[in-house]
Amino acid sequence: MTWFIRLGSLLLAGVFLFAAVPKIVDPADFVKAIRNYRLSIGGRQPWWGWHAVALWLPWLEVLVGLCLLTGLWRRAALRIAAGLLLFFTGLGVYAIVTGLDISCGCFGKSGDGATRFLGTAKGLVAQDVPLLLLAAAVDLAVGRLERRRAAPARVVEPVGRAGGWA
Amino acid sequence: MRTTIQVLVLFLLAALAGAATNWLRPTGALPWVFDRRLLAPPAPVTPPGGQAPADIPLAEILAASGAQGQPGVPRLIDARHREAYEKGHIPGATNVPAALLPVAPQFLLMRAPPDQPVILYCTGGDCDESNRVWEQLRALQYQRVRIFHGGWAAWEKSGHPIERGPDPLPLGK
Repeated sequence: MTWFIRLGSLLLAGVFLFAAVPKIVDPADFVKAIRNYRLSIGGRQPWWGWHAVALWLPWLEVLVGLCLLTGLWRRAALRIAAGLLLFFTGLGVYAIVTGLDISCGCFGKSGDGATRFLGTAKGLVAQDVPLLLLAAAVDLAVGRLERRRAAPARVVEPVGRAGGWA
Repeated sequence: MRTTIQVLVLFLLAALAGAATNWLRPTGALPWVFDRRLLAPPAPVTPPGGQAPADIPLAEILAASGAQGQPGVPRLIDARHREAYEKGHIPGATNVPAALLPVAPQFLLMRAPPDQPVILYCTGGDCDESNRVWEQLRALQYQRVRIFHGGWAAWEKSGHPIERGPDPLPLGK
């Protein structure tokens, strides 16, 4: 069980840290990637929030990656990771359904009309769904382990003491 | 409960780290609230009468639509994605999807040279594709670029003829 938690956490940490660095280095490019999704709330694009998301989200990815790497606040990091992956998957599905020919912006590059499969919306869904399942599985495993550790040790009566035949 | 508090703390720490690195950025801090004026092309000059700046009149679009290919006539460019264009577009308009232009400017150059006037349109309303193509065209030294803000919605509503099908000019594979 612990090897699965460690390996899963390590893999997720690697992905989140790898994804965050280019976005931190060039947030303006990440803004372009966000804009490309053309998300709208009530028919209007939430342009006022693009920069804030571009400045905040990569650091959230870094913190999630570091927590998963060190094991500190692992469950919180797993919950955020699962939430982010679910959100990214939703974005990918939205881009596919609306026919957007865009780069997913997963690793910071806005390079529109991406040719590499992993940089496309379909690639985003294909890589995020397994990662989402992994995050959920690791979270379940951590929960099970914590419950097992928290449970009081079962006292086993030695055979022969019960009954009072002595 | 403990996990929820930890999640909130991580959210807050991320905001602080983002603010700190943005403040220290050697190329200058990115404003936290996006300024949309950075994107939009210059607004048309308000006429002396004080009326609101007008969009390109439909009559001008109609005239340009019927005279595509003739010298001096603005090239009509539909900046929406290919599927939307194929479902219906202004007759004579060519398709340069905004998402494609940054990686493939040759598709634009084969449709309109930089010295030709260009009219861009997208879905209309709050659509952003025309703005994005406008930015790219300015970077490519196109000097006479305007946006038909009413876009496809205004054209469709006007009852003018529409054209369907793919652009005869290629957009790559």
